[in-house]
Amino acid sequence: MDGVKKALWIVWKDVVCELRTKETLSSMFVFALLAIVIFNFAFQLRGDERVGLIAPGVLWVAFTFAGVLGLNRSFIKEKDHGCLEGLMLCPVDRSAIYAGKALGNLAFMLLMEAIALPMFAVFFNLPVLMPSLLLVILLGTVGFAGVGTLFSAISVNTKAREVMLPILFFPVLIPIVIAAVKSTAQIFDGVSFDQSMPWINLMLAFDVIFLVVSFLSFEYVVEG
Amino acid sequence: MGSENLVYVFAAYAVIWLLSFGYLHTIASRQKRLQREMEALKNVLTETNVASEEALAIPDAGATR
Amino acid sequence: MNRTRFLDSSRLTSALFWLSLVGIVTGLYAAFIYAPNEKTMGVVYRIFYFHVPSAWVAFLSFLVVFVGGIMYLRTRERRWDTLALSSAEIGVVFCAIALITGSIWGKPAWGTWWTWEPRLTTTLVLWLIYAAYLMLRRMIEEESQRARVAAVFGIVGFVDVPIVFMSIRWWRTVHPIVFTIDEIRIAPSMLAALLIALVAFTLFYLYLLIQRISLENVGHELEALKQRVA
Repeated sequence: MDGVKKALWIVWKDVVCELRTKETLSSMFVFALLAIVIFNFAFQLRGDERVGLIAPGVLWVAFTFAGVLGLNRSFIKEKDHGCLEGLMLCPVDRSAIYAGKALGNLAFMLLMEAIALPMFAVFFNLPVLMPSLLLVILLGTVGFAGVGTLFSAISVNTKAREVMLPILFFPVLIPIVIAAVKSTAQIFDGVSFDQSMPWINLMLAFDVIFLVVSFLSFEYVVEG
Repeated sequence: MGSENLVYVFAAYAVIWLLSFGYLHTIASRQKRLQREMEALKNVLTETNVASEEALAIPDAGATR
Repeated sequence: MNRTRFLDSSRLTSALFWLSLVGIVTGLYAAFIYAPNEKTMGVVYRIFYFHVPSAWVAFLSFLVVFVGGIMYLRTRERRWDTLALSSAEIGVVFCAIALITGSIWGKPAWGTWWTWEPRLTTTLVLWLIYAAYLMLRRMIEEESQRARVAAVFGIVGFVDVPIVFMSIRWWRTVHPIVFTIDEIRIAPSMLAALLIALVAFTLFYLYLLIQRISLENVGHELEALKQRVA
């Protein structure tokens, strides 16, 4: 229980920092919006008015790229201001640090998605306030933030850190992208929720497996 | 039958041998380069050893005179 | 000093080289002369005799990267990291071979160079993961940090492989599946030819691995020597 409390303190620290500058959240949101606009143009070249066809893909591409932007900031700002060393010196388990950073990243991503989703609904004229869709977004984002936090800590140690994160992260993320896009498409198509269950289960499995693996291996990444 | 497809078989096997033995070749050439570097370094080391011994020998010779 | 090396017997190494070479030549003979022509696909299917072993070697290499990563994190001995690095490099090469030959096979068989078929797509994702692994290693200067971080990434990447495969297979069930490997009716002589090639490529992998590891060790000795001179 002590570890949970410490992790929450780290989340609190990140939230307070973010509220002072709002630079990560605002850049994530604007980037997601830009992605929606750009992809809207990129895919409507042939005058196809059935935008529903591309909507799930656009939604998840926007979330993914905006999310990587936020993840990059997550450890780079610690490293650049020398906070990472301070964090490591704290009498806190490394796994609590991971949990705190992951929860913080999850919170920022969900916040970004909460603002971007209404925009998406307006642009694509789709209903988004469905519990099933919100569940899919939550599961996808948990997996994203879980592995993403580990990879953010990995890439911050490399020479080309902003570039390295997507290169490392995207191949591993593919199952989440497939499952999220497929189930989102099924929900927009109005298929019964039972049909999306395999995808939901896949995302659940991904989330559980990688949360455990990241939780256990994080200490090796930040050690030394 | 399917003899027009022979070109695909040929292309596939060309890729297999080019890449695998090409990779082996890069390992071998990297090994050779390192070996050469090692030799050169060892030569430098022995030369400097000889030179430092000579440098030591001169004041020595002066002392005995 | 000896603890940093796995194998250092040059006689074993050269024996391995000649053994794998003989195996490959025998495999070629079996693939092109001994095994009969396949009924529906004609001569093209003969690509499989060395395409499948390439994919196998790639997969085996990535398994070794995974094991090497775990062992490195447990023991902190440099030789495990060297093993993982060497295996990853070989794996990326053979993964590329498997991808390209699979694509070349696809053109006459499916009429297209590429289809998002589960096995092919998973192989592509594998290639991307381990190419990223090699890039990651080049991006970190400090040795023990590089080994640690690479080990973690190698473990995460390998754990991801079955999930990737499952997700792509479910994804494809919506589309018509263009082909299955089971379409090839395997005669005993075909199986024998495939097995010979499999064994030959596995030996070849071991040979390459030993060579790559010794290259890494020589490089390391050289660095140490340079440090002493400077």
